[in-house]
Amino acid sequence: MTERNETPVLEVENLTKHFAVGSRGLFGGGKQTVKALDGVSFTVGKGKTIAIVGESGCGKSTLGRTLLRLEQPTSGKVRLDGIDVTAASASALRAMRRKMQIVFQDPFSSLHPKMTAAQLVAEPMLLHKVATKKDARARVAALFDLVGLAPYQMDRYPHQFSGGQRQRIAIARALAVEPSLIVCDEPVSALDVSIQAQIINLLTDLQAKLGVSYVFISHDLGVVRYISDEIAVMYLGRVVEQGTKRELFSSPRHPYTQALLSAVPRPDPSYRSQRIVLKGDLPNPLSPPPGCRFSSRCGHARDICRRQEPQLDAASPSHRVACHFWKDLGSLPGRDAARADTAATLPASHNA
Amino acid sequence: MNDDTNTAVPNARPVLDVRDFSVDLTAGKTISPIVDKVSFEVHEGRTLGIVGESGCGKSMLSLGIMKLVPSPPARIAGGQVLLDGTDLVPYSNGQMQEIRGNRISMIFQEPMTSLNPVYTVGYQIIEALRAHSSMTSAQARSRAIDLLRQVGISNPEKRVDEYPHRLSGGMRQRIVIAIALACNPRVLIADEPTTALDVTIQAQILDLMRSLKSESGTAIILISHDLGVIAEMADDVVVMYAGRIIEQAPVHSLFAAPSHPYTQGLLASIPTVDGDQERLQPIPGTVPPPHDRPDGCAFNPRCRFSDAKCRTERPPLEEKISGHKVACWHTDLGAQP
Amino acid sequence: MTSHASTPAADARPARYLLAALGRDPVSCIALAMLTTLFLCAALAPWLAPYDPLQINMSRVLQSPSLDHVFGTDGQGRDIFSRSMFGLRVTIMLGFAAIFVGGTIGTLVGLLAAFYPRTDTLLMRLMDIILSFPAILFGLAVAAIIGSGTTAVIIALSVSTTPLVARIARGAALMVLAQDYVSSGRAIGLHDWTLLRRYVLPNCVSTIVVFLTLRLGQAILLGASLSFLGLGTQPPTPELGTMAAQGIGFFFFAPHVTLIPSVTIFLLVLSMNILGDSLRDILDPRLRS
Repeated sequence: MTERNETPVLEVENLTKHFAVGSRGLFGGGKQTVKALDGVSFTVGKGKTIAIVGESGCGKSTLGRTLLRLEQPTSGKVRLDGIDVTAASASALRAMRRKMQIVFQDPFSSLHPKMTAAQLVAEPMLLHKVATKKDARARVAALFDLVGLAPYQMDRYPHQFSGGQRQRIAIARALAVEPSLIVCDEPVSALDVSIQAQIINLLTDLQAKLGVSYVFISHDLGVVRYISDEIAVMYLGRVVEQGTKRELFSSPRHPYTQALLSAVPRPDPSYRSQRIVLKGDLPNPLSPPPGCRFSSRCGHARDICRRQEPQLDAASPSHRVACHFWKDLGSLPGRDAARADTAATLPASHNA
Repeated sequence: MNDDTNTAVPNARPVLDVRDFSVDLTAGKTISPIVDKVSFEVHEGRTLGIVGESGCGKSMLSLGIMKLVPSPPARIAGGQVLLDGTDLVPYSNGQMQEIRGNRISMIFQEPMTSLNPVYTVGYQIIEALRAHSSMTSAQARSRAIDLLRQVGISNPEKRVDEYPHRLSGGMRQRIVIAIALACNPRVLIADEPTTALDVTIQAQILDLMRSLKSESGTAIILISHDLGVIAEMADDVVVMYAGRIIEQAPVHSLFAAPSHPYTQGLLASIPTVDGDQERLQPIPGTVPPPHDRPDGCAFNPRCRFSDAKCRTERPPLEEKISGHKVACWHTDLGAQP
Repeated sequence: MTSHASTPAADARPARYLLAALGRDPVSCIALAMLTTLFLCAALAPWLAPYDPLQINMSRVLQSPSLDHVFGTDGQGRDIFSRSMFGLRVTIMLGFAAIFVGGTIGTLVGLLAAFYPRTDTLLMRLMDIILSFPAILFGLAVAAIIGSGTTAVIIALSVSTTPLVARIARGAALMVLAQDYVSSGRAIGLHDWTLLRRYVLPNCVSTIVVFLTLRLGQAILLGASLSFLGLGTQPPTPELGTMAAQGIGFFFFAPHVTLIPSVTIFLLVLSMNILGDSLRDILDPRLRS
């Protein structure tokens, strides 16, 4: 966060990524652009986690890939440990990859099927000369231990592991080069609940131990609550609200954040029907509504919302909201305030 | 529709009564039960939630009820499925075709693939209608438009001629629901109906299913891995682990006093939006594959209460409190959080 | 690897698995036996052939099959059986050379087109253009430039095989490139070339190999056709297509001179196609559940 004195590990400034859709045909015709990212800015401190939350099509995965320059940004800057990633040459970029890694969502497609677990983990070490061929195996064994895999599994192929174990391999591979930043792109959403919890705990333990920073991309607000320090909520390529975890969960300001929070099904039968149900679907990203992009689904939208795009406005030094009426809306809508009490009385078993 | 406070099971005969139902899976030379002597009842206008992680047999159970298990390798190994008192297990495929889509219908997880891309949505609803009734095409069309309106699709007169690829995931799932409800089924089996959808769209679909249930009185079997969805939708809940029911209770009782260590573990490992705890409590280990299930209680290698008896003897599903059944030797321990 | 049952479908399987799968189909068995015999004949020709294939004997011209000459003799009294064995050798070699060269270039082009979208249109349109010329026409063109001969046939066959392989390789590579593990390789900082070699190629190889086995039969047939037209292997070197062409003049009184090489080509290509089909059925993940 900006008020810190030390240099942040990651600084993202006005990052923009446009995709051209459809090709310019022989007979002219429409080439349209999707603004998958439209001026996204944030910073991440050492050993901290920012969560990027949003529904499908909001641009969160594009953000992850663009941060690492797996996609070329259209404009904007990404600085890692103070060094500009966006301007780096191809060879400089390859060297910089040691400092930034990624863990993907689907552990069934993110590991090379013809390499053993040990080869997968050793590959980045050898590439960046963090280890020599001789000591690589010992380092791989140490990493296996760190992520909770047994040494006898080192020479197995990915298909011989379960989904949770594969995700552990992917994490070990990411950690192999001691990066300062790991982008976690929905790392637990393909896993069963009990396994999900194992991986989330592993990620937080690793952060405490190694001081690595995370950009944690997720559609699941529940998961995010256990891992993030700061949260940015995205809608159609823009950050609509950003703040500390506490601010976002206890006093969400943007109507979209409020709806998102209230829509999560609670494991509590008495919570039923206290939700804000948004109308309609996500608009077509090719032609987002004019003005505020959320206006087409927002229960509070007025004329100005359909004409003028709201800018991020500071609700507190660390809390920013892009809504014309956030001051008028209050932190929680009426019926949600009522549910704040019921939420406190979760089943006793929760603390088991 | 204040039906969620009504936890007493009505006395009437259940619409669907599943007794000791088993499905076997053959892999190579080994035959292993993936659904193992499962029994439950579903009553008119009520929702039964079946919850469990992948590999617990919940999807195979739902396919088994419809007699749609992929055979081979799977096979219905025994038990009864009584629909309004008639056992479906001995039915031929021809007889089942009369039942499927008519008296029992099903919604699948993936709205992108459960509609045929080359026909209009209207055609697909009309097809479902005319398969089980003698409507004229004009009658079927106007019924299709009614159904679309019922599932909350705006401008149904126009949408009826739309192709599936023109619709969003949420809309497609509404269409799938419309097709499932076309013949006023007695039972609707919904297998992870909202898992592929975004959370705001999921909220819409869950709302829709709730209001349709209270209007039509259809009994619903809702299969989900998400205890949140189950808590919101179900009246009664069955928790499955490794092919067996390990806990069965009315929804309020289950969430207020989860009694099986697995159910407790599952609840403790859900990342929730509310609450104060900073750390999740995962269940150690993984679900055992069907061919490699431990003796005794299938959950014993992952259970903190496990002892010698758990490793050798399989605990029966017994009623502990009224309506609340648990399969655990240590319910007294387990009930204490 | 201990359990092959769960190996991803595209993985190469041990030969034993392949043979077991082929063994279940009687037609494939016959084709396999036939092909093995033909290959053995070709490979062992110098040792098995009863006569020197180039030995002219004007006193035994155009003899019908007999105990001395099982397949008879040709217009210059050479033993057709021996010539067929040596001819088979050349014919098969032509096919394999074309498949090897065309397969390598095609794979390279396909992978590059998939990996660098900017080159895609250019490379693939070029392939389409090549594809629109018949292979025979290439043969004529190449022969006109460098003269008839084995090299001309190999070049013509390779050029006509390349675009087909390029298309298959591009498709396979695009599927592999969509997998996260390729992004993961990029994310650890692998060089493009390493990424192609270690990540993309090994996961496309089985698809390409299956296609090449299917193409081999066609390539052999085309090679023989070019030789038959006189563009390929020049006499006196025995080659099945050339041999068939040489017998045409005597077709009405000594048909065996043409028929024997022709039937050999027919059996060779037929058994290859049957085996190629079964191989595709066994290896192609899309045809298996």
